[in-house]
Amino acid sequence: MADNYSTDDASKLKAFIARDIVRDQSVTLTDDQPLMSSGLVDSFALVDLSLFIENTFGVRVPDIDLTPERMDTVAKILTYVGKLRRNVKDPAS
Amino acid sequence: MPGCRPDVVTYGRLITDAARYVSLLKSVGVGRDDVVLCISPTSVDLIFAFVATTLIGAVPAMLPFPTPKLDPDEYHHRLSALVAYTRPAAILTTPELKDELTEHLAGEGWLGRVLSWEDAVRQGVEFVVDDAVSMEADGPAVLQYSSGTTGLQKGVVLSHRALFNHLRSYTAAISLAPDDVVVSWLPLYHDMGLIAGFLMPLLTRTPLVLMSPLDWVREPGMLLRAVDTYRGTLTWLPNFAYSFLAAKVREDDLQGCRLDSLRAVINCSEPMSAHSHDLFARRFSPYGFHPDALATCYAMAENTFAVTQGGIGRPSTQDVIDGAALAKCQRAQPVSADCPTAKTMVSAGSPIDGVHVRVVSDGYEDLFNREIGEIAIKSDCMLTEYFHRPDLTADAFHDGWFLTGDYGYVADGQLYVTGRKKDLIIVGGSNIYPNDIEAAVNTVAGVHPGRCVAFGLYDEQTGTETVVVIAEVDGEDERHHQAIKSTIRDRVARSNDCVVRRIHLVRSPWLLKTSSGKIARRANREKYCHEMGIDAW
Repeated sequence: MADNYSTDDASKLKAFIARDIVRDQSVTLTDDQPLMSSGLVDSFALVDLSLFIENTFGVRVPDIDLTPERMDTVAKILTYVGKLRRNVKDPAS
Repeated sequence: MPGCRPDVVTYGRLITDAARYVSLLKSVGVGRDDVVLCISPTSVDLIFAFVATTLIGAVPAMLPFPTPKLDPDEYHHRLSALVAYTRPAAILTTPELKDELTEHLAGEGWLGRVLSWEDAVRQGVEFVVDDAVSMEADGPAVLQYSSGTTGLQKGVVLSHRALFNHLRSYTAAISLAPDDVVVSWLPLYHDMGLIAGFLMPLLTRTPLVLMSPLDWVREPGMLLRAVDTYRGTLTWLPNFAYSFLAAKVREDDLQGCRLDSLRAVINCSEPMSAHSHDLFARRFSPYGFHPDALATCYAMAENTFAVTQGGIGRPSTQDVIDGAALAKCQRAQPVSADCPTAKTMVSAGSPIDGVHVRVVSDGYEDLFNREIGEIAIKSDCMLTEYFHRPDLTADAFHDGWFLTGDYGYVADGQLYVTGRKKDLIIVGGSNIYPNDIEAAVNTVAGVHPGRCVAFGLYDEQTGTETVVVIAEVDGEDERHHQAIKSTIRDRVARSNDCVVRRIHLVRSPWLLKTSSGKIARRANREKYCHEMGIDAW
């Protein structure tokens, strides 16, 4: 349930992933679809994701949090971003 | 690890800590010429394990470790096959992996032992220098494997003599000096990381600053900050890393960073691009990076490491040729830069001492005048054999010359590599075999069995190749096709740990076959490029 992030943010993120990472606009993504474990996106994209998050949501992503498990779905990414924005002590948990 | 204090290993500590592994290996009966597989992410323990293996006269082989993305069954299936024909005496690994590896190898008829770092800690013994085994120069020093099911069949055996001959020639080629400092994130299970990024500094007493690729890929700037902190002078990178670093390092991660200590950033392990070099130079010149430090290399495990080296003490050479002529008549015709089909080739340099290079036709005749042919080499640092594969070894040589399977030409004493014979795909410096990908695609429901092809296309934005799969399927239902694509991506990722960037589903009959009835990769690649309006070269 997307109650800790907006559908607007989800759309932005999905559009970015389809356009700039997968580079196939015909790909439609759901919030819970595995990105890395499904072979859609590789580990080099972790840096792309963190740069996008920083530029779009105005938060700083510590590199140690950039793991395939934490970034594997749109929902997980945005939940994590939400915690960063609210300055939660350990957003990676 | 970013933010962590570095783990400093002196030669003294190296021997003292390796001693624990020496006694562990001896306690399970590992002896001279036995193979020991070392399976772990980059760590000090991995290094101690490797050195310990060498100290008892056994033969270490670094291998990739299971990663979350790769299907564990696939990994273990491959490892079992490798263990079955290599018959290592032992496997040294992390405590986390020990149980998993032991479990999967049980009942396979293998009598060796899986040991972990924790088993070594309990030993606590002193290493006595007299324990050192005296080795035969032509005996096996190290065993190297390529990746994928296909690659794992070819274990490159390098002798002590080959290794030292190579170090002598290569250190001369790069003018290695007492004030050099090597900085590297390269994995130790590939020749570039093993030789340039580990054994060469180790054996020449050159300080080495080593990072794990797992950490670097998340934070590429750490390489540059390490150069700044330790005044690094040398680093080796696959081509994509130049583009990756240029595009992905944050400005504020480079605050106060000076890169002027770098005297050579050596491009190696995949086709090189002038564009990637330009991106790197432009991005990092403001931090003191000297564009003259852009250097190049053509290397392979079968020659220990480097075959040619360029750009040391002088700028790397470039050659502007007609890309269309290259593709059509297999010749590197010089043209002016404003020609619409101009292609800038970056030279891999000239052969290092003791290495001879020829460009040969299909009939093994020497080619001159910028004609493209297969690169053949002869040297004093070649592999002894492909481990336990006399058939593959014999096939690889013709008349004493090693056939590299790469295509290229020589101009003004400089080697230019233009392509590969065997359709090997190289992504991010790693070898990916099309048959491995095709095997995975063929398991996907909806794909006509045997009717698929995989190949690579160079992507200028990333500076490396992109994997393309074409598969024949039924029907036109878009949702059904998306599901097939999804499954293809998933299967390929799980069995090959690589991402298929483009999947083209076509209706039968589309794929071209060779006269012997096999799918013609090269022809299909050209057909695809033609249909998409892409330059195949």
